[in-house]
Amino acid sequence: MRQRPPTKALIYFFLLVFAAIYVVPLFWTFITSVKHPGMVFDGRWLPFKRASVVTIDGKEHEIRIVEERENTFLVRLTDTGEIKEVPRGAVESISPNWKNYAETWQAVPFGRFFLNSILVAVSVTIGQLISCSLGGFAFSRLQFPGRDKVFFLYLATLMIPGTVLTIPIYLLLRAYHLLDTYQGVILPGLFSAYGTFLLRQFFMTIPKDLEDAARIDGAGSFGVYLRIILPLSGPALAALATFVFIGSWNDFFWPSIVLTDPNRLTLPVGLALFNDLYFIQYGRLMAGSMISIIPAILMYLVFQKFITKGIVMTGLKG
Amino acid sequence: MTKTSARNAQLLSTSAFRHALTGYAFLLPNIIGFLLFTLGPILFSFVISFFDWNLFSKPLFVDTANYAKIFLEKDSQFWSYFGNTMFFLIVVPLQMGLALMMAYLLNQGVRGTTVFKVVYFVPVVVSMVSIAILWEYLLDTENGLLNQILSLFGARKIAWLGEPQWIKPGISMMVVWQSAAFSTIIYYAALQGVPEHLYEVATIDGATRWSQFWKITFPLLAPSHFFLLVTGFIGTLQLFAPIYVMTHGVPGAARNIIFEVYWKAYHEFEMGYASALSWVLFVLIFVVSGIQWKYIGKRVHYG
Repeated sequence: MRQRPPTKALIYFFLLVFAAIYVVPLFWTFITSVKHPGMVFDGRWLPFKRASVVTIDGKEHEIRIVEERENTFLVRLTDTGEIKEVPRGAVESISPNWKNYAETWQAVPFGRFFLNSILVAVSVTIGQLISCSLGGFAFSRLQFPGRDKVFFLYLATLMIPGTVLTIPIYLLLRAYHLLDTYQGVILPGLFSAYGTFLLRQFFMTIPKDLEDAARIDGAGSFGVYLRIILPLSGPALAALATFVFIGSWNDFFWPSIVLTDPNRLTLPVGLALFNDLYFIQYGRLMAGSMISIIPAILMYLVFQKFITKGIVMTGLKG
Repeated sequence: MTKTSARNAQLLSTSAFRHALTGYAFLLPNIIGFLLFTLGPILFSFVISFFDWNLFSKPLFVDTANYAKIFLEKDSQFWSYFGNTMFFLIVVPLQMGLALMMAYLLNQGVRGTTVFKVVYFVPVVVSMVSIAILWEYLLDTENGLLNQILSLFGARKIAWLGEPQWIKPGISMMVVWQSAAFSTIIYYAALQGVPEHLYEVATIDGATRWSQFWKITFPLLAPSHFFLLVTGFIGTLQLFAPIYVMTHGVPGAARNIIFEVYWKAYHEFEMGYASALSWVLFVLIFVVSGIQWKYIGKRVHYG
């Protein structure tokens, strides 16, 4: 639609208002994450200059902070080289405190959490791609007795909320000593009625001629699945993969119940633990928060198309 | 004659058998998963909801005592958890409204839309835990951004996560903020599918933008509304991570049914009682979804 100028201005105005609702909290978190411990609550939005400044006897001096104390800073004046102790309030602006990131990174094994999350999410995604595509293939391209009955029974399980299942699955894993293991987090995630249904719907749209041609050439069912159906289903597989990956990457409830060893925690669970331990140390907390958000944003920017397509496909056609 | 038909029948049955074998072989992973992680658990969960079992003792059959404890016992707080569970449902219409506005704006196709799209869609990949941590700080009483903004309008400082009556609205705001991204993607895709000529006709007829939106756009989005409403309710009835993170896992004024299931099962190890409670939640979800299908789903026409 072509917009008349006043309408256009209005559209931009509202686009910006909504963008602010999302950007401002993130920006504020970022600013907090690079504030010095004593300045977290000064309420300033842009507290940084390239160098910090302190005014002594009406004269402004550039400084470097030597040490932070409870209510004061020990500073070195860059012009004279003198070291002075000044009250925090006297320091007018301050350079970003990147130390929060270094300290947080050292105090909390974020790198480890990342690797754990990658291991879990990749395993779950690959597992679901295999199990769902095999199932979807059987339900869409093979003829066998009981097929449709089994399919509807399977579809009905979509209505069961995870809540009812978690306690027995927990007990099952406990019985097989799989609590606090990666397998315990991964195994229950390897199957999905939702994904099977999604791929079945997609496989149905692939013309039968191609399959017939392959069968005449002597291909068996597995050959058709591997050489005809899978290669033609790239978009659907990619959509399912991104959807499953994001879901598994962000999953909280299940890994938080299964995992206890800090070395095995996935990112969300590790982050929640970190939040419980460091709460009130806002600078560090916000640094940790940024450390977890930035890769998610990068992941979004790289896989943008797949992610939105995946959501639309898995969402609306499901 | 009879010889050949007998042979055909034999051939047929072996080939039917072979087909079945192939079919179920492909389904094997799903069947194993279904038995181990769906059918088995659901039966088991139903059975132990009639037992008293703390993991370490021998399970003791108690008939319907667990259910009686939920509904009939005097100091049962079930109705408070139930009320909290229902309170959070307010999130669904709010986030849908926010999402619809954002999707509508994106769909106007002005220059720079790509950038706004990134901003609106990004929360979909950020974990609820990161967002909850961020929001815990936004909602801080003394220094939180929200109270700072409110104080510009002369409002008093609210202890969002401290005062019992404010904790649910506080958590709800965060969930709206996060979950609107998903709905915006769904609405945006649906809006892109609305044919342009419908608006052209309406413009010629002199319809205002406002009435175009309510008479054309909104009704055409019915399948999306319905999908988001149903899945939104199912998800929100089981809202866990935001409550857990923002209350640091301590039972408090925001405790809903699933939090209580979690607490009873994994902190107090009352597996029977927790299972009974999870069945109550299951029935609640089932009833709520059923009502939606019956009264709203019927009116949705898929174009």
